[in-house]
Parts: sequence; C-alpha cells; structure tokens
Amino acid sequence: MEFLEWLGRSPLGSWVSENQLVYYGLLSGHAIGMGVVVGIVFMLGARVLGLSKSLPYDVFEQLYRLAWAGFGLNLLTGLFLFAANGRHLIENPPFLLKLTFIALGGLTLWALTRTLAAAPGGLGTGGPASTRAKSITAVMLLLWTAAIISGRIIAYTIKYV
Amino acid sequence: MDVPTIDPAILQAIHDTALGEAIRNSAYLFPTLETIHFIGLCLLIGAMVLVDLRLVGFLRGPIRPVLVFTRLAIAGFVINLLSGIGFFTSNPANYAGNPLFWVKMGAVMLAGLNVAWFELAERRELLALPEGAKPPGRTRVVAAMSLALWASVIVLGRYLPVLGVG
Repeated sequence: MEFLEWLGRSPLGSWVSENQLVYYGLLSGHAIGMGVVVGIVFMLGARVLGLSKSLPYDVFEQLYRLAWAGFGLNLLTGLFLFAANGRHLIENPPFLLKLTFIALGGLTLWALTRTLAAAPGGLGTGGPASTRAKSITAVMLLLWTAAIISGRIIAYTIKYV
Repeated sequence: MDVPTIDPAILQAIHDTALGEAIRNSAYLFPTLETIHFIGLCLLIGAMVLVDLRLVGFLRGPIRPVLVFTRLAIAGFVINLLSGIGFFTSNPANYAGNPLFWVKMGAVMLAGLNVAWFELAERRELLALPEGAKPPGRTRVVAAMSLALWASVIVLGRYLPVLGVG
C-alpha cells in the first residue's frame, strides 16, 4: 500500500496523471489493444458458432502472435495507468474483477484452441465445430464481454486523488 | 481550431428530446452506452484486422470466406453509430463545440468512403481471383488505409475529453 502510494507520487506516476497527452495516449493504446485482442476473440468465436464455415481455423492461428502483441500493449499501457493510481485500483472491485475475467477469458481461449486442434483434420480444415468447441466459445465470449463491462465500470467507481 | 457552426436552437432541440433527457437523468444509461460502444469497437476492429490483414497479404488462406466477416464490421459500425448518437443527444453542445469530435467524424467519413470504394470497385474483382492469388496493389492500399483510419478513429475518440467532456 505504501509502495503504491509512493509509486503514484513518483516521477513516473505523476508523469502519467499530470499529463493529459500521456494519459489519454495510454488510454488510446489500451483501447486499440482491446480492439485487437477481443476483436480476434470475437471473430474466432463467430467462426466457431457458425459464421463462414468454410474458413479454415489456421487463419486464426496466424493471428495469435498479433493477439499476444495486443495483449502485451495492454499489459504495458495498463501498468503505466496502474502506476498513476495503483493505490485506488488495488481496492477497486471492478478492477479486480476485470483482471479475473481476463485471466479466465485467456484460459478459455487456450482451451478452445486445444479443442479445435484436436478435432479430426486439425486447424487446417473448415466445416462446423463440435458442440464442445461451441460451449467453450459461449463461455469465452461471455468472459471477454464481462472484462469490457467491468473495465468501463472502473471509470465510474475509482477515486483519483 | 474552428468548429462548424450549428444553430444553437437545433442543438437545444436535440438536447430536449426524450432520448437526451433519459440519458442525462439516468446514472446507468451513459456508462451502458459506452460499454456497448466498446463492444462495437471490438467487432469492427476484429473484423477489419482479419479482412484487411488478409488483403494486405499478412495472412495466408482463401479470401472468399474471410470477406464474410465484413458483416461483423458493419454490425459493429451500426452499433457504434447508434450508441454514438446517444452520447451526442445527451450533450449536443459539448460535442458540437469540441474540434476533436469533428476531426473524429471526418476520419469516420474517410473510413466510410474507403469502405464504399472497396465495395463498389474491389470486392467483385477479388472474388473472381483464382485461389491463392495475391490481391492487386490497389486493394492492398485500400486495406492498409482501412486499418490506419479506424485506428485513428479510436485514438481521436479517446482524446475527446481533452477539449470537452467524454
């Protein structure tokens, strides 16, 4: 706690919180990273649930590196934003829920890719997905949507000073 | 920066609509619209990442089944147009007086023209390409511009509070 208070007052923390260009720049990067990560998750989810059944899954496999890059961007911008206001974020329930939803969303994404790769023909084929893959996808989409909702609630529940 | 002049009476009329009234009087409607706006953003950006990166040549595989995902881009755009109208209606003077809002609308318009160009001039030709063929250079420019324009729309939207209210 004392550390987070110190961090918020440190040159790094004040650089983020006292500089509008920096602060909204970080939020912009965070929004783009969200669009990339959750966007790819949404597209994969739509494909598994039945959109464009002839599309082989390996096109999504080619996107995993980009998805990780988006995640890295959000981890980095998130850490900077956390440095500015960590002492309030750490006791903000929506923030803690958001981190939980992201962790669980990542786990279900991993489980889904394992299920798809294990299917006959593997990732290189098109065709309808198994019921198991569809169930995991439904949970995955709910978790990532929940992460967005809780992230938005942070802005309305967090103290800034 | 100069902003387009809109008759204050028109802005007031939009402000006084039942929709504007409802959003202002609720603690939950505005944050809900923001959340919906973010979900629309993910649909639009996710579909553009998939479609545009395939057209640019960053992704390999058949083109036709990838182009189906433009439907989700349209869905995301409509979701964000409607939620965006909600934001504007709740506080028209704020948005109309914010130069960044007009720059964002300009970027949305350019992105829209880019989409129109793709639909009118590129899509049919692409679908006629033999399997595995590279899209023409012109199409790859349109796809790269699409990614750059939508990314700039996100950045401009995020910076709106600097010159007004979120």
